[in-house]
Amino acid sequence: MTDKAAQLHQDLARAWGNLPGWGGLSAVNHTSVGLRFMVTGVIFFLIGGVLAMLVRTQLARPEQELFSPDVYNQLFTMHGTVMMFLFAIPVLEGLAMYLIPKMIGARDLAYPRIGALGYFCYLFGGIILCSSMLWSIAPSSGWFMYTPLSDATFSPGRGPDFWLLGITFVEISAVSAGVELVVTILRMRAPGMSLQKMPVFCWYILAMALMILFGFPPLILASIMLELERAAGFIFFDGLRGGDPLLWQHLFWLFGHPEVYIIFLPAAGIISTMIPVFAQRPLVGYGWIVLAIITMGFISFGLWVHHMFTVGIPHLAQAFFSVASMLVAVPTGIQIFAWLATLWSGKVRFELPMLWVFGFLVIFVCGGLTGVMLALVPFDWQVHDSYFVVAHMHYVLVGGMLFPLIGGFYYWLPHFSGRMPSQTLGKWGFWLIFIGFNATFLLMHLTGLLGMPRRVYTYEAGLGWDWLNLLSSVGGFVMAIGVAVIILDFLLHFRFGTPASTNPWKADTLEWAMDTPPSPYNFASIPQITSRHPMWDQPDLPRTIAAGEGLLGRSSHDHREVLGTSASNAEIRELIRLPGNSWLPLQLAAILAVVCICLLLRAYWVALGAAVLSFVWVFRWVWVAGAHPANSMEPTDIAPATTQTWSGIGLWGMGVTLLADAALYLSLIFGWFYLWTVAPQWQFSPTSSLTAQTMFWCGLPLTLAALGHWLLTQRLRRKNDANLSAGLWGSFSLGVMHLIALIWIFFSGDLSPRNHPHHSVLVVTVGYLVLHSGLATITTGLQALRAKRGFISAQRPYEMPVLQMFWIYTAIIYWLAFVCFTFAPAAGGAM
Amino acid sequence: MKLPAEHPLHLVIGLTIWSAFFIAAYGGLSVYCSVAVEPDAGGLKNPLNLGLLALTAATSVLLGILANWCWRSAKKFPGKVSAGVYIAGLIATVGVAIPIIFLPPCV
Repeated sequence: MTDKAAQLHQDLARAWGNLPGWGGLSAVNHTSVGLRFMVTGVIFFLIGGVLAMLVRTQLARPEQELFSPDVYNQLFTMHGTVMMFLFAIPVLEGLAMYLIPKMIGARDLAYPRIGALGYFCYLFGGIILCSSMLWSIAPSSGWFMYTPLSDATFSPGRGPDFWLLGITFVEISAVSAGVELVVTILRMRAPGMSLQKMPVFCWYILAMALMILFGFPPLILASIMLELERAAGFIFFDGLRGGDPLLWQHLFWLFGHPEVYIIFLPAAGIISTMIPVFAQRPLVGYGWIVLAIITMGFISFGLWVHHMFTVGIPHLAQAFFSVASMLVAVPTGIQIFAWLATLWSGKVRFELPMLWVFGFLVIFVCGGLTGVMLALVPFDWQVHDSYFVVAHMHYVLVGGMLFPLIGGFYYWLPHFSGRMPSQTLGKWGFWLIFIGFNATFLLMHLTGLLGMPRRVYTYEAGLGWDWLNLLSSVGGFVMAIGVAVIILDFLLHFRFGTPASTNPWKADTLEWAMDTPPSPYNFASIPQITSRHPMWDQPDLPRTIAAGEGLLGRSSHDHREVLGTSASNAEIRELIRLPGNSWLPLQLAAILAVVCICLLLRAYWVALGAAVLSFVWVFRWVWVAGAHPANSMEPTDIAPATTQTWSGIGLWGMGVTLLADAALYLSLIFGWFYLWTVAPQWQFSPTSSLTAQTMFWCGLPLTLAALGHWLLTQRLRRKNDANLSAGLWGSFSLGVMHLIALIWIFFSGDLSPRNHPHHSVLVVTVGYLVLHSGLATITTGLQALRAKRGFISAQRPYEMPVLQMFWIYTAIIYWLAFVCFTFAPAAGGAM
Repeated sequence: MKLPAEHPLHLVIGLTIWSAFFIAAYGGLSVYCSVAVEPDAGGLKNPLNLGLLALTAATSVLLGILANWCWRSAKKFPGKVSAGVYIAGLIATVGVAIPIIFLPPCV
């Protein structure tokens, strides 16, 4: 390495490095955050695994009563909850956050602080949720928390509250990760890496991230509604009072079924990445796989009712979902045939990660086949809520996620640590898990077919289930030993593993072009990509990147600089300065944790105070973002600074976030419409305040505020920034007028959410509207101050279109609420 | 058509149309069954089944036209995959609609 290159690495290390000691908690670097996600996820996996072993111990013999029914209920509920929410999704998100920038030739994710915030929300939410087990008040209504079992009547304890609040807290991290992964993949790929040259793993993660944005909001909404029903007496799911318990099932499974694919897609991405490497040839049918990913992402949202075949819906509706459930097997099949064709036509090297690929293929295909069986309505009726379903679910999730994940860990282990794993321990671990898993769950299909229902804490002897359960339990413990061996291997390899050579698996993707373990800046310079397989077709890349011969291979003056490129062709668009180490994410997550804990303790005034404080922190965060002087950059000849552009990553982030926001709002509209049309006891209850007339006059200043902001933005596009601050104060004033009117309407009316389900929906909707109008108004006030100080101007327009988009969204949701809640019931003759 | 066939948005439009069709079919069925006085009196020749078949036909034709246009116009990767997505939407639409021919609503 030349002196110049050494100086470059030194400069970059200073700009991108984490702070020492406790300062590491302020790290926002994607490598650190991604690794933290993965390590925390593995710890939660071990907790969930111990719970599973306790369940299997209880069921090993008939009429065994090691645990009381209530404790047993807590065990299986927390096992499912921990595995699904605290392990599967976060660990895959962590892997994606770690890998995506490295695969696309970027130095970091688009919003590093958001990633760090997501991690701390996940950590604190997980701790809060799991802490319920310490006091034996863990949720016990099953991991999908069905109503009415989980309502205040049948679950009067705090268990469901821990679940609802803890999971909602954790989901902040999932949604934030979804946003930043989408924007990073679309807007930060290395120059030349057009969509067709993008690693297939990125397609999988892009689909997963988008699915998170649409899939999680229905559950977030449902959790808020159920918590309001439990804590404040609102009516959404109580059938006797005008709600409908099936609404919970719809909202839950609108999230729950796509979640299976949210988990499967990244795992399939791992498989699609590893197979070409070990088959030593490009993936067969890249275009077909992309088509399959997109198709799977969409169709998986049309399957949710197949979890509800037994609740009494019309045969025709069941048939819709039955067909859709079978259709989703087609894109899955396309991928499996593409993998097989790649293996068939390649020269396969049977390295350790390939064991997991074969384990995955065998187990996942079996799980997929039983999935098609369950898509058949009559068969589903027979085995519903039996151990057959449990077996199917574990074949899909363990086969479809855990096996690829462990294979992926082995594959990228040299990248994490710079050392190779042990072949012996790795093989032992694989076979123990493979044999133990099949012993546990293959037999469990039979247990289910013989009629054993899931979730019973014990069973009578002589029903034909005894030996099956015993063998399943033995298999479970064999699997647990296998997991222990794998963990041991991972731990030991840091000390005893052979140092890895550069690109030890001879892979084709860009993450292997850097040193292992990687430096915090990933790439000393950004390469120009000319191929889908850069490490095969541009073998000189590691050297040229390290020598600083690519883009941005210069001193960055302690700034964290990355390139922004166009979504389709990856042409250079902008130079982005990313934030450095920051305590804001940890502080904000801690305040949100206080909100969560206070809500659990029913200390609502303290919770409200902490919630207000969290908003103060958010606005403090916003203040130092965008074109704040702290983010200034030296002029370059590569591209304009992002603050000089109109469609920077801020605008993209807002657009993608609003997709999730809109999904939540549409779920609310769906819930209202569902209760209106389906709930037997539902009735519209007129209010004196929320009339068409008052809502119209209330919406007028909102519309004018949005219009004013739009006009100012258009004027700025014409390079006219005269009186910008005054204009923004005008929009702010109109926003304040609207807010005051909205709050007055809300409090002056006769809304009675504890007595009328219609009012419950109205209160939640108005709360949603107030939140958005308030955010838009306050942020406009901040923009007025920023314009005054020159942060926003004709030369720095970056922030205006971001807020403009939010204003438009705020106006749309208001008028949609106006139409839905004033005209629609009247048109239906209900009011 | 203003959006060129290579535009990435085409990668999602086809199945978004399918999603809208699917929501309309399931939502329409649910609403119909909640308001219909004698939902199964007409057997298969009822307003819902006939309406859904018409919707299926319209959606299928639209997706077919878009698939054809995309395939013919596209010269590069995203356009060809987009054509595939339109065809996938078409297949999914027809597949989901098959039960409409055999099953009356609300039973």
